[in-house]
Formats: sequence, structure tokens, C-alpha cells
Amino acid sequence: MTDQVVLRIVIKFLLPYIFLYGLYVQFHGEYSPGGGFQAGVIIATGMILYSLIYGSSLALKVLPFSLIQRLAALGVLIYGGVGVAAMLKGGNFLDYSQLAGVQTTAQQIGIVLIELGVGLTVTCAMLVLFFTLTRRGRSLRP
Amino acid sequence: MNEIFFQAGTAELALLALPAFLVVTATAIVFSRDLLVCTAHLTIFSLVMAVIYLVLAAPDVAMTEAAVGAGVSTVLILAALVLVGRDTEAVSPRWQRIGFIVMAVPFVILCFVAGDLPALGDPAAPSTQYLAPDFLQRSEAEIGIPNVVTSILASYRGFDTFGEVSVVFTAAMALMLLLGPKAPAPGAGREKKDALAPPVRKEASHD
Repeated sequence: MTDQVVLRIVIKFLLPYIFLYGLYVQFHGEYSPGGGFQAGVIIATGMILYSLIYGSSLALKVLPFSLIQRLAALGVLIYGGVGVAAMLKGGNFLDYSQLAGVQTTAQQIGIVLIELGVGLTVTCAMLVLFFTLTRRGRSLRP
Repeated sequence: MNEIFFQAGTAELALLALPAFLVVTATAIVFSRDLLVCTAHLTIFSLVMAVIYLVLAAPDVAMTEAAVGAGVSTVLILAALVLVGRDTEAVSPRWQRIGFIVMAVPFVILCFVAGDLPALGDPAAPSTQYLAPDFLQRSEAEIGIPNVVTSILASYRGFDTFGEVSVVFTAAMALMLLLGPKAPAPGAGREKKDALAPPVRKEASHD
């Protein structure tokens, strides 16, 4: 769709707000509706929109496929790592109350960390699905 | 059901009109002969579903439905359509009718059963009787964040969410194993064309 001038300009204006909204949903999820999953999907949608209009080669230049794969795994590792950290501190798996002295603080640290893991994994998993399907049979390098 | 009819607030009206719209869209999906049209109908279905979730005061589910159902999955289905070809033969009209009947019978049964469901926001409904008040009370003292949904999903039910994240990750990895890139051949040329982009038109536009 590289010849669609209106789409290109509108997307250029829209993208920052989509990403900002995604980050807001991610980091404000304790106060307002949303959380890692919703934020991840919103950010992935922004990237997909960009790829659709500007071509996935350009999008893969911004975010190389090898990085997407590794970040997807990193998200799961962060989540599991928080659980293991709680175990190492003497609690159960994913028992956040071991992470800090005050219980509510510990819980909030745990929640923010695992939501970060969820967000990373969901964003990158959606992008892996998109790029694998759209660039089938071609190199995943830009 | 009667309560819904008599207190005709905006939410109740929306909850009558939107499901009707869903039924129309679903019927259109079953009977559509073109996969592209079918995809468009699926998107409309998801969007209406998102609005219904919003009316039912579940904004995070609405957000997910709008972004995943109407956004990402539409693009993924379109990408899959590019792979298999849009003019893939549809099932015969006879099978479409059979499919419609198979779906319509449970729908009618569910419509009859729906009358026995507790009304929207009924405080005596079983789902608001047992665990929900308990979580609402404990969350403030134990977790200390205002959004109880997040505190349940991320803390009380953290193990379930870990499972969900693993499922998403596994799905992405599985698709990559099935369809992903093979080891790049030495000296393989790079193509510029995009799978989803239409072929570049050659100055043949009739103004």
C-alpha cells in the first residue's frame, strides 16, 4: 500500500498515540482497566499497522526478527524469574510477598514485573505470528 | 428477561439491539460465499462483541476483543488468505445450510434458557455471592492497588496467567516452526515485494 498517500500520512500521525496508549495501558494497569495482555496487543497492532502501510521490510529494520524472538522468550523468563525469585527467598512459586519487606509493596513490585513480562511476550508473539505469515517463503531479514 | 424489557435504560436497549446485530452478522458469516467478505463480517462481529463487553462493564475484555478480535486476527486471517489464495473453493450451499441449522438449533435452545439467567447486575446472582466479595475485601489490604481485576489476574491467579503467557509464547513458536524461515541459503536474493501489498499498478488508472 505504498502508494496510498492519505493512509501513510494518517498512520504517521496515529502511530505515536497508539504506542502511547499501549504504554499507558501497560503501566497504568493497576489503576485503570487493562494490563500486560491488552497493552501487548495494542503495541503489536501499532507495529502491524506500520508494516501494512510502509512494508514489513521497513518494520523489520526497526525491530529485527531475531530480537522479536528473543524478547518473546524474555517475557516468559521475566514472569518465571519472578516466581523463582520468590521461591529462592523462601516463599512459594509466584508468592510476591517475599520480594520486599512491606507486603503491599512486594505485591505491587511482583505485579508490575510480571505485567511487563506478559506485555513483552504478547507483543512479540503477535509480531512473530504476523511476520511469519506475511513473509512466508521469504527471508525474515529486512 | 422481563426486567430487561421494562427498565428501558440505554444499556438495556443496547443489550437488546447489539445481540440482534450479532445474529445478523453470524448468519452473514455462515452464508457468505467469499472468504474476504467472510473475514470482513468476522471483524464486524468482533467489534460488536467489544461494544457488548463495554456495555457489560468489562472494559479490559472489550479492549482485548477490539484489539485481538477485530485487529490482529483480521490481519492474520487476511495473511492466511494470501497464502491459500482468496478464490479457494467455498463449501457447497447445501453444507452451508446444514451448518446454519446445526448452529441455529443450540442458539434457539440457549435463547429459551437465557430467561433463567440472573438479571444484569443482580446482587443476588451466584457469581457475585461467593468469591467476588471476598476478593473485593481482601485486595485493598493485601495488594493495595485499586484495580481488583489486575490484582486477581496477576497475584491471586498468577499461576493461571503464567500458563496463559506460556500458551501465547508456545503458539508463536509453533507457528514459526511450521511456517517459519528455513536456514537462509547462501547468497539468497532479497525480495522487496510485500505479501499483503497489492501488486504495483502500472499507470493504467482511468481517471
